[in-house]
Order: sequence, then structure tokens, then C-alpha cells
Amino acid sequence: MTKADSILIIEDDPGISRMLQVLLDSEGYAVAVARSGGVGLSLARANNPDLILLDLGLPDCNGTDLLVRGDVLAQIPVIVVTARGQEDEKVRALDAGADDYVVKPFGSAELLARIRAALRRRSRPEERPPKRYSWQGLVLDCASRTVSVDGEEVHLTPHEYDLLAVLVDNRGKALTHHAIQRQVWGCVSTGNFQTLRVTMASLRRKIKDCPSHPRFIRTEVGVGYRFLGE
Amino acid sequence: MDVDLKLLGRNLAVLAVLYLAGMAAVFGFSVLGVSTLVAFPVFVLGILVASLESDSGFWGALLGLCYLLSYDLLFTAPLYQLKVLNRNDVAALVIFFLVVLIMNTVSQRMRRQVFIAQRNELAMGRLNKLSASLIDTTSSEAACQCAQAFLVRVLDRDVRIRLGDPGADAGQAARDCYERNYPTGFGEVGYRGCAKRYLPLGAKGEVCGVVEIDCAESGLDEASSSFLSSVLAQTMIAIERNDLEEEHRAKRIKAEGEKFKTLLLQSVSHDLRTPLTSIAGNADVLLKDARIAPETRRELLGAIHEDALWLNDMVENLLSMSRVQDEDIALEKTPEIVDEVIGTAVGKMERRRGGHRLRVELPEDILLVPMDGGLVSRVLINLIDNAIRHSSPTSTIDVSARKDGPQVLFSVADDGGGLGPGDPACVFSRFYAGDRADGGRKGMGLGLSICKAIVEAHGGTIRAFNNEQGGATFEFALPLEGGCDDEGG
Repeated sequence: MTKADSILIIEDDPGISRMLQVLLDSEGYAVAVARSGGVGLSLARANNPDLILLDLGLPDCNGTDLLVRGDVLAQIPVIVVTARGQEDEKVRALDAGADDYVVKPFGSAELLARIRAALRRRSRPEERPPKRYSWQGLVLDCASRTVSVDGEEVHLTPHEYDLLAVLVDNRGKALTHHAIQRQVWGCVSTGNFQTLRVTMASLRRKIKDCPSHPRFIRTEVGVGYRFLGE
Repeated sequence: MDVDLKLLGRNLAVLAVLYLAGMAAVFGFSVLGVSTLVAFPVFVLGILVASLESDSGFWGALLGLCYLLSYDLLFTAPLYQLKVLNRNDVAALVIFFLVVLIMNTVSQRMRRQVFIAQRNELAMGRLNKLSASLIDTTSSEAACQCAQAFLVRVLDRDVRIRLGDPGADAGQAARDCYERNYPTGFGEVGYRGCAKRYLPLGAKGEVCGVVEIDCAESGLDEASSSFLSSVLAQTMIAIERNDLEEEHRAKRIKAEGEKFKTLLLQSVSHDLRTPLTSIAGNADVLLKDARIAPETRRELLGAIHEDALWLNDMVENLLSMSRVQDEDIALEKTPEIVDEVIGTAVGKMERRRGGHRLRVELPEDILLVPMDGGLVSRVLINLIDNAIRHSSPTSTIDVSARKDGPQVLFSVADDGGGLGPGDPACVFSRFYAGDRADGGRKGMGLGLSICKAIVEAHGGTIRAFNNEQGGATFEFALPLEGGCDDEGG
């Protein structure tokens, strides 16, 4: 693309803000910085950046509220930056429309990868679900609802297949338990997602995906799951 | 009635025996040629025994009369008839009766005293037993229960001992007793018609409870009242002792907490300063010296990065520790899948394994264990980190879990080095930091003690031992039943 992707950083800590600026700048992005939620919102409305990095610990407002409120933000992918231990905040942000999240202290490689993935998802047109998806040995056939790993067919229950399909549809993106539950089971329970977790564990064993060295699905602790393919 | 007949029977029997014995003695004397005046001391002896053995002076006097009449009839001239008394006889008679009277009185008093002494001995014995039971009680409530049961048995009536305010529905008499610290109810002025007696339970002018005694059948006699007072005094002592012990225990726990905080602060300030000094130093060098070779530059920057990560780890450990230390927050357990917890921990350590091999063995079935996933993850991370630091640099580290009856056993085992000499349980002590096998920086010594604290807060157990591969195994168990809501499905 001829024009560099523009990223708006909404972060109040000057140290982190500067670090992000330098990092993104060196990767070729056009960077703008806002120190507070209010300023960030105005800048977003004015300049329409390609992506927003939003810190959840802003002094003047709750970052999540920004997501819910901001009309213009609905169109722009947002990656929230959170501190450890703010699991509830992360989940709420994701459910409110954030695309992804990173946890401080984060590695630069991780952040850049997530930015790339978010931008890629954005530029990808609304596509119909592919008839067949294949990545690193995993093959999903949507028409027949069959799955094979490294050439061997795997027998999944309907829920296990739906779970995998939902993750693949949102590949690269962190999905909250809540979102997954809603899409796969249709209902939202107030429990602790036990059914979802057991189904996930069973699915992982069948597609031979060890949670400690994940090939396909990564556990996002306290938040949900993410499919690692592209 | 039955008792009276028995008593009557006994008295008569005693009398009969003594009369016959007395008569036989006098007859014996007369046969032997001894003067029959010896009869009088014999009679006195008989009467003495009679008044001691029977239950009132009446029988002694009756016996005396029988003796005299018999003596007069049988042993004085004219025989077999009562003769008119002369002056000598009258004098002897009067003195005789005086002696009998005095003896009766004395023996009655003596008997009374024996009775009182026996009763006191019984009471003392009971109080001693109560004392022994009270010493074993471990709470004020238990002491009251003990005293209450005891009083019900001994006083043979309903007794209740209640600590604290009797409450609004306890009746006016009970409340008055508690509020004003004096006896109320049955037997006290102003409480006519009240079937129960209330006594305040307390010491040094402070009331801590109310004793309720059922007097529907009869009031308490003086002996019982004073016995009751002794019992209540002992109960109060036991209550005060228990309260003091409670206080002492609480203070000790608090003091330990304070001590730990102090140690922690000392350790933190020392152990965090070290990496910070290193960071500052390296950064300083990089800033000042422009001629550093690129490799050295990379090395110093790498060191700064490592130190920063180390500090982050330290902070995470401290946060975990404070979460577990805080007794006000109950551990929130939710059912977590063992695969995921292990996966999270191993995933985080993957980057730091260096030359070690990290292998995972998951349980056969999908296991759900109630736990705080973040904290148990931290336990695994700390155990793996510990293995990386202290086993030989290229050791294999195995992380596994399996179901073992009502619990799940997690294990982190390595095959290099093993535990040092001494009790393996020591490794879990706070601030115990062993030497590293790779020459790296020593830790704060909190990692394993945090593991222990977290595991035990879950109701589990943790242990360390040397394994057959020459290394060390750290094993902890978490109970499968933990009490958490089941979503069903």
C-alpha cells in the first residue's frame, strides 16, 4: 500500500507512550499520540486512523467506556493495553468491541504481530465463510463439517466442530468465553463456562493440540481463546 | 414411708440388741460375784452406743428406762417387783439421767458433725471433678456447657447457663439480672410467681451471662446455694482463662504477621535493588560510552531486558504472596481444566528454559479441579523455575498430572542434581534460597514458600523428594471436591 497505516496511541504514561512511538515509527507506521481519552476521541474523529492502541488505565475515563461510547471507534480496530490482573477489564473491553489486547509488559514482537493481524482483518473484505480452510496440517471442510489433522480424519462432536469453526472464522483474534459461548451454544449463562472449557479440552486432545505448545489454539488466560492461524 | 419403716426397724433392732447385751452383762456379773453396781456403767455404755447408732436421742432414753426398770425388777430386792425408791436410789437415778441426757446431746452433735463433714467431703469431691473438667475446656461456651451439665446432675433440677445478653424474649427477670448484676426471680423481692431463679455470672463487677435455675419444685437450700456459688466461681475462672488464651493467640498471629512483613520488606529492598542497580549501571554505561562494540552493546541491553523481566517476576510473586496472606479474602475457586493450567504455566516458561528440555504429560481424562487458576499456575511456574535454576543446566524437566483417588497429583520432576542434604521440607521455608546450578543470581527464597502457601490454601499438600533419576521431584495434590457452583452440562 502506498500510504502508511496510521496508528493512534491513547496512553497517558509518557515513558510507555514514547516507547510505542519509537517502535511503531521504526516499523513504518504513521503515529499520533493522545494523552487522555477525551483528546483521543477527538483525534480519532478528526483523523480516522487505521488502528487505535488504547490504554485501559487512562486518568480521565475508563477505556472501556470509550469503546462503548465512541461511534467512530466502531469502525476502527482497537487493541487495548492492560496491566496484569485486570482480567475483567480485558473481557469487558473485548466484549465491547475491542479487537485484541496486550498485557504490560509486552514484547514488541507480540504487539507488532497483533497490530498486523488486526489491520489484515480490517482490510479483508467481508467474505463468506470459506468452503475449505487449511493451515499447518489442519483441514476444515465446511460443507461436510469434517476435520482432519496431518491427513488423519478427526471425529468431532457437533459442538466441538462449531467451536473450532467459530475460532477459525475469527482467526488471529482473541475471543472471550462469553462471545464463544454465545456463538456456539446460542445462550449465555452466568456460570463459569465449564461446558465450554470441557469441550475445548476435548477438542484439543482430538486435534492433538497441547495447550503448553499450541499449534492451533492458544488459551488467553482469564479471557478466552485465540486461533493462531492466518 | 418405706424409709421410715426401715429406719424404725433398725432403731428397734439396735435397741433390742443393746438391751439384751446389757442384761446379759449384768447377769454375768452377778453370776461371777461382781457387785451389780457395775451395771450402771454398763447401762451408760449401752445408752451411748444406742444414741450413736440410732437417729435420735429418744431411743437412748428409752433404752435407759428399760435398763432401769429391768434392773429394779430383776436384780434388786425384793426381786420381780418394782420397789419404792429410797434417797440413795433417787440420787443415783437423777445423776444417771443427767448423764444420759448429756451423752445424748453430745452424741447427737457428733453425729450431726459427721454428717456435715461427709456432705462437705462429697461437695469437695464434686468440685474437684468439675475443676478437672473445666481445665480441659477450650472455649467459654464449652466451660458453660460443662458447668451446666454438672449442676443439672448435682442439684437435680433444670439449670441453664447462657453467655451474653439474654435477649429481648428472655423474660423480664433474666434481663434484669443481666443488666443490674444481682439475683432475680424465685426467692427475690419483687418477683412473686416467678418459677425460676436467675443469678448473674461474672467477675469484678462485670456481668458476662445469666444462670437460670428451675425452682418450680423447690427452692435451693443453703448448702446447695453455697455449692452453686463455688461452681459458678470456678466457671468464671475457666471462662476468663479461655478468653485470655484467645486474646493471646490472636496477638501471636498478629505478631507473626508483623514479623513476616518486616522480613519481607528487608528482603524486597535488598533483592529488588540488585537488579535495579544492574539496570541503572548498564544503561549508564551505554549512555556514556559511544565506543562500545555492537556485541557488547547487545549484551548489556540483553542484561537490562533480563533484569527487567526478573523484576517483573519478583513483583508477580509478591502479588501472589500478598493475595494468599490476606486472610480476609477467601480463595475464589472455580473449576479449571488441568490441561489448561499446565499449558499456561509451561507456555510461559517455554521462553526461559534455556538448555533444559521441558516435557508435559497430561492426565488420561479431562480433569476439572476447583482452584484459583492464576495461583495454581504460579505454583507450577515457580516449580519449573526452581527446576531450571537448581538442577543441572541441561536437565530434562517433566511436568505432569494424574488423578489419584479424591485428588489430583501435579508433579514437576527433573533429572539433575537433586535436593541438598537436610530435611527436604526445609526448602519450603521462607527466605530459603539455595545455590543455583547455573551460577545465576540467587532469588529471594520466596518462590517455594509461596507454592506451599497457595497449595495449602487450597486444602492440598506439597512435598519434595529426590527421585530415581537423580534429580528432585516436587509434587502437590489438590482435592477434587472443593465446593464451587456447577454449571451443569
